[in-house]
Amino acid sequence: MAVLEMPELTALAPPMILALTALVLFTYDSINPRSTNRPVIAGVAAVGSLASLAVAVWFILAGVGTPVAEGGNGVFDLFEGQLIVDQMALFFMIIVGVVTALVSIASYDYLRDHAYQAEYYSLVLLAATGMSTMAASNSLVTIFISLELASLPSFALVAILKSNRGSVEAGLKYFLIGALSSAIFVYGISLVYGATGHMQLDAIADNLGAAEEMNGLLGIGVLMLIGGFAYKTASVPFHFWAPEAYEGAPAPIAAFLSSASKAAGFVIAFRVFTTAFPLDVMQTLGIDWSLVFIVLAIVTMTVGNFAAATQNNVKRMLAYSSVGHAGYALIGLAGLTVDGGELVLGAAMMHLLVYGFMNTGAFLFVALAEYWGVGRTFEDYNGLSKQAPIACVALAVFMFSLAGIPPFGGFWSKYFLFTGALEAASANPWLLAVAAALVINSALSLYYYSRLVKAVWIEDPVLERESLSQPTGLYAAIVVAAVMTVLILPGFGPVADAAIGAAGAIIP
Amino acid sequence: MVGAFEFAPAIALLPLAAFVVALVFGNGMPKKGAYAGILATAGSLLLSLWMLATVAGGEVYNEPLYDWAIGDEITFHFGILIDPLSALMLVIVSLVALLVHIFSLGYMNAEGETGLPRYYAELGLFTFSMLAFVLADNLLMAFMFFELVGLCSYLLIGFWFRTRSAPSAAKKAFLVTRFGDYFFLIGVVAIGATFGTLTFAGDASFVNEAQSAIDAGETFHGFGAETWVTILGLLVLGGVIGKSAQFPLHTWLPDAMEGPTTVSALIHAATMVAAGVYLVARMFGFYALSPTALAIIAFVGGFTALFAATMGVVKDDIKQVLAYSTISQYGYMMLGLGVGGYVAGVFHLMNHAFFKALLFLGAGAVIILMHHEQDMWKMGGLKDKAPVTYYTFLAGALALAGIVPFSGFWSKDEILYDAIILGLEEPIFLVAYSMGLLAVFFTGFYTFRMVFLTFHGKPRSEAARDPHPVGMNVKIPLIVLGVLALLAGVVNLAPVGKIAGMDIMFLEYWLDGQYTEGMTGLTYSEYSDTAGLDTTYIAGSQTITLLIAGALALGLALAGAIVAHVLYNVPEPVPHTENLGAAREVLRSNYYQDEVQVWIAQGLAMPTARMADRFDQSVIDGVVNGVSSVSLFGSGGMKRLQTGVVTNYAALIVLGFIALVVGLGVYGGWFV
Amino acid sequence: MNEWIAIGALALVGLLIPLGMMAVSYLLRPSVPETSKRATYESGEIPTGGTRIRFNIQYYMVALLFLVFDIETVLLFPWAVIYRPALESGEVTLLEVLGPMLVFVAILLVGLAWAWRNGAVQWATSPRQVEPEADRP
Repeated sequence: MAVLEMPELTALAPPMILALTALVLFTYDSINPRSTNRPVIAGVAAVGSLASLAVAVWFILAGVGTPVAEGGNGVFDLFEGQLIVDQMALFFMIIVGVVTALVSIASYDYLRDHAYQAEYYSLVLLAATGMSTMAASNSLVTIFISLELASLPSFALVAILKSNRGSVEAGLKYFLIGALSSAIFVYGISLVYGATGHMQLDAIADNLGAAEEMNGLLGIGVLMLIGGFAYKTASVPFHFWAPEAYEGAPAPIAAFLSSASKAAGFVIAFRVFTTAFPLDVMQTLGIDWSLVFIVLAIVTMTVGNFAAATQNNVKRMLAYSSVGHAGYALIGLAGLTVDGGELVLGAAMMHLLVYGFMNTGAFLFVALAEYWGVGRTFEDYNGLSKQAPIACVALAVFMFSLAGIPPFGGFWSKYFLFTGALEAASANPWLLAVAAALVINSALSLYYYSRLVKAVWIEDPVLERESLSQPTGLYAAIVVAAVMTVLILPGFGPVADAAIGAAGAIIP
Repeated sequence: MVGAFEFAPAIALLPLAAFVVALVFGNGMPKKGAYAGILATAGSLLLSLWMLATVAGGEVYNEPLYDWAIGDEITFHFGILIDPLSALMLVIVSLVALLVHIFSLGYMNAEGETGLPRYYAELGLFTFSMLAFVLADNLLMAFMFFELVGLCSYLLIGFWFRTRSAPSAAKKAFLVTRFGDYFFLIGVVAIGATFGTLTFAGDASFVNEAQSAIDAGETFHGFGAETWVTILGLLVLGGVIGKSAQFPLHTWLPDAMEGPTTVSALIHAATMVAAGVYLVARMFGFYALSPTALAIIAFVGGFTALFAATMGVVKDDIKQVLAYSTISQYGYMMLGLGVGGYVAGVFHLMNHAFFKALLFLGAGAVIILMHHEQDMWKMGGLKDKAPVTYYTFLAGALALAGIVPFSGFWSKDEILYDAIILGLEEPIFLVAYSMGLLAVFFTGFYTFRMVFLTFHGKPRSEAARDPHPVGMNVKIPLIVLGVLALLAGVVNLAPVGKIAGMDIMFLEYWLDGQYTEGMTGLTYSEYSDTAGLDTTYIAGSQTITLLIAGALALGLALAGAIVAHVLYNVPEPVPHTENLGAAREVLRSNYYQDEVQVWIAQGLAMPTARMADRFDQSVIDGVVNGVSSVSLFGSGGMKRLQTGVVTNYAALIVLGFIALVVGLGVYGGWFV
Repeated sequence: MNEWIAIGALALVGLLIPLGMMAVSYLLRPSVPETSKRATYESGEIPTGGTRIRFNIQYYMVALLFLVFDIETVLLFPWAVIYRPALESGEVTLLEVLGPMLVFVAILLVGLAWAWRNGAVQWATSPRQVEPEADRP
């Protein structure tokens, strides 16, 4: 394979392509300030993100990241272990690439009267670069830098509708909570460094024995790291920014943050806790972090779903549902046991991939509604199916998939999470509570997801509407997301294999 | 090589095709789809005869065709089993179905009925279901088609769904048989779960498994193997009792007379009711393992035979008399099977199929003659006006009453003979035998009461004085069946053969597999060995026993006929039922069986259902509603957490974080 | 006994000292209410205007631009220190040493160029400066 002969740095091609595209856009904007040549700008962004996606897919098919012993091209270890390109990294680069591409295409129509075209796309791509790099980060330093690279453009993106009070307020709140969380995270890094003397994850794992005297210090540090991850993944109690940021942000950005950013938050959590803090060692130190994740998973999914149940604003409902899904994905960490957990961790990764399609699609439908200007509440959406049947079919697909109804991708990932949790429950009975919470919350979630479907398909419109336009970019993105949500069912075998393989590779 | 058996599925599929054709194109076809049905059943008959010939040539067929559910423990499949029993049954069913189709031309088409495509479609589906049931090689497939037969009977009994009584009768038939089928279904599941197979025949059949389980002395669920087999057999018997209208689930059958008479002929002679008895015969190897089950079958059969016969005595409607006679005759078959008389039971099943089809079709002809009048007191004197109908009906009646030399005598005599030789050894069989014997008298009486009232004496109504003529399509089936009713007994003249020492018990040899090779486990002699019932002869002589049993049965039948002759073969007969006094009301009300069942439904089932409903409404729904209210209330609380003030968020984040630190710290012992 | 008790005791003492001092002074001091004590600045300075004044956004812009060069410098210094020894050791090529820093500076340059082109270094013009004569009589 040609990859072998290339310099090791090429393994980082997916994030580098994203960064390069961002720079191209900046250069374009420097030469041509305030350009509103939307086809060129959005086109460059879409091509860049698709190229990154294509390279990541090609890599994973070509066996990059698979250990040589298993017939792959080997795990790429860059800068003395600061960055690592393995199966999981590529898997999450794919998720980021997918979401970025969908968002770029959909934004073409959404930003039709917007002043900051190039800035918007380059910020999206910079954030995507950060997320993509998070997937490959293997040291607390690189994790923090890439996390900040993902966060800072996000703050600006949320507030990019400068004349919209909601957008600006959301951006500021997001920034403030982000600052607090980053502070906690950095403090956690320093405590872990203090206890173990290392930043590189493998080195931390090797030096945990030295931390026996300082298990309290290390424990607080670990909890602070969890705080940082909880912020990025919008998990309780660091979720407060999410509903407001998602509601105020432009809908494509909400889609971007709730899908890609969340996935990136999870990948670093997966990597840190499987690589740096092996559960068996940590349990002897009295730091049973799986317990923390069990609590967080249950509380997060309960808070998210319960708060979503009675929302009137569609976007806010989706925001809370996104919190709830973070709770589902947390099962991946909660279900890790001393001697296993590939299934449940792989299930969480699958869920994040499927979620990348269905949640992005759902938020893009909101973007479409905002584009039409029909309003924000459930009542405003009444009867949309008469004017826009295709998009509404897609919406029904997203909603039922999010709720976990069998024919769609969301069912399978939730099913694997459930069975994985039950399997792990033999080692840790608390997981039964997690599995029960998953079932109860899924049942509750069906209530509010189906409410939206009912509004769109069954209710009659409150006001007479004129016929609605069909913006190409938004429609294309929504339809692609819907088709993928359905098609992932036959393709679930390979996806599941890839995810479980990736999970198995990082579990020591 | 393409053998005859390759075409076996077509036997069942031809009527299915007729069903589709009649349903889709029936309205545009001449005779509204009748020809499709006639062609299909004729084809089935020819193929069945071919099967019969092939089996006679020494082959049997037992092949799975299609696995539709494959599991680790058990695999469900469709398959075909053709052995002497099923080959014989195929011929009976397809022959009767063909004749009923032909007769329908006269009974339905000529009378200008509406909805004929529906009628022929349902008839086709009915025939298909029954033939597939006969072909089934495993219990689950049999159950499926058993249910389909029940569905078709529901459709056909309710054919005149605009009347008040027909839909109600259809529902009754459906519900009562369904009640029995619950037990059947449980039995199927239990047999599958116990033995891991549901096939009737072959090395891996559940019969063999049960046999070896008994031999090995295994226990199931705390029961000994034999007790467990008895329980399983009785569960399946629930379905049989429902379908074959045995006490106490016989109540649907008299009401089922609401359907067209042709349908009654089909249901009672060859299909639905026969399905129950056929199932017992099919599984006879299984029942033979359990003497207790056999005794129960025999007792239920004997009791039903007598019980139904007494009710037939007082009925005024010609079809009602036939209905009770059907119940009674199936009681004989159950008695025959229950006493181990596998050959006798099947023999009577065959004979009954012919003469009962004949009687029903004859009654149909009478009804045509009488301009759709069914009350026998308004008939009379039809003998001279419709000689073909009369003589064929008479042949059927003689067979039903069991008068030498008509077919019914031979089979009924054999059943009673089999019963008495057991009864002399075991009192319970003797009770069953005496009930069966007593029923012979009543059978002879009500049969000839019906004949005399219908055909003899003077016409007692305008219609009877000027009957409607019947056509050839009515007469041909009657003649064919009349000949069969007379001659069918020839296939197994057991008493003659035993006394004279002649080898003329063809049916016994047939069912014993003497004409076929390589047939194991499905033969009469093996069943007898398995059952191992002890027999005793009167005065130690088979001949004397045969003669006494035959003379008793024939004498009682003749006595019944003579009493009927004295009372009713007069120009102006009068109802003598008043002489019965209090018994009359009881008999007319069918021993209050309907009332008992209604009381069970209303007095027991309804309050239980109401209590369950109340539980569902209050507790279950209460919990469900409570959950949703709690959820919505909790949702309000969760929403209130999001105040919109960013400093509150920061405070909550820090508090939440501290809670985590303290919680995990205390748990992990960091502060010690 | 464990070491956390000492920390707890320290926290307790830390709280008690200021509270105790305030309590003692409350008990000892004479009470002389006077209006000037309620002023913001007891020194006598009179406050003017509200606390919520807007700063010109350009301060922020300049601060950001400063950050660009600051970070550049922070990274350039250690790089410059090891540049020559690294080359002399012969283990790395010129491209490997110089390349990353050139890329880094180039990226910063793109940012600077973008900021420049979008008016970040264009010192703001307040209405008074634009029309200095207009307001004056």
